[in-house]
Amino acid sequence: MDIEEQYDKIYRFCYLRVRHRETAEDITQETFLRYLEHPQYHSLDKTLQLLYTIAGNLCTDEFRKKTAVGLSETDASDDDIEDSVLSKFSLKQALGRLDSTDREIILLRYINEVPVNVIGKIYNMSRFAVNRKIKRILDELHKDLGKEELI
Amino acid sequence: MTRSEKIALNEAFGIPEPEKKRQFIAEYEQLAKKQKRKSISPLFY
Repeated sequence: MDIEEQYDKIYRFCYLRVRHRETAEDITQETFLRYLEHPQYHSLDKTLQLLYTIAGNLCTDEFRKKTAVGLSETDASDDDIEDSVLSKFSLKQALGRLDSTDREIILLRYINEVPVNVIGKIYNMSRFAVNRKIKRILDELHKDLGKEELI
Repeated sequence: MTRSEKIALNEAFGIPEPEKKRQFIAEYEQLAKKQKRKSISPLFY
């Protein structure tokens, strides 16, 4: 496993969920430390599945902690954060209109280049269902942008 | 999806670069080396 490459990918995945650079980076580092406690897999697919599962669980824990603290203590509402991350350009806006899971799947598949079968395992879906979902999301984006291509 | 679409998509997500990556990777590699060196004790001597 190329740690340099995977660090960036796991960090992006975490950032998309927690929307906070430092927290995303802390979770990324914790993910790799926990990964060390597990038996090392020879297959990259299994390694990726384990990394994303650990990261996803840690993001969920973080979300629960934040919810317990109370929304009043957070810096901004989800909508504000969403606006700050996804604004200005139409592609950003189109991504912003997707639901969070769809956005995550697009990031995993096209930015992080995670294989479809691994995405299926992360979301508990068959690879056929993942392919159908990706096609639907891309159609939605194309329709939203009113173009054949995304740019 | 074309390469230019991928680049546009990456920019559209607007994810800032991580800042503590280098330092962590150096620490992680040390830890991983230590982890590899750990051998399983034999059951019988």
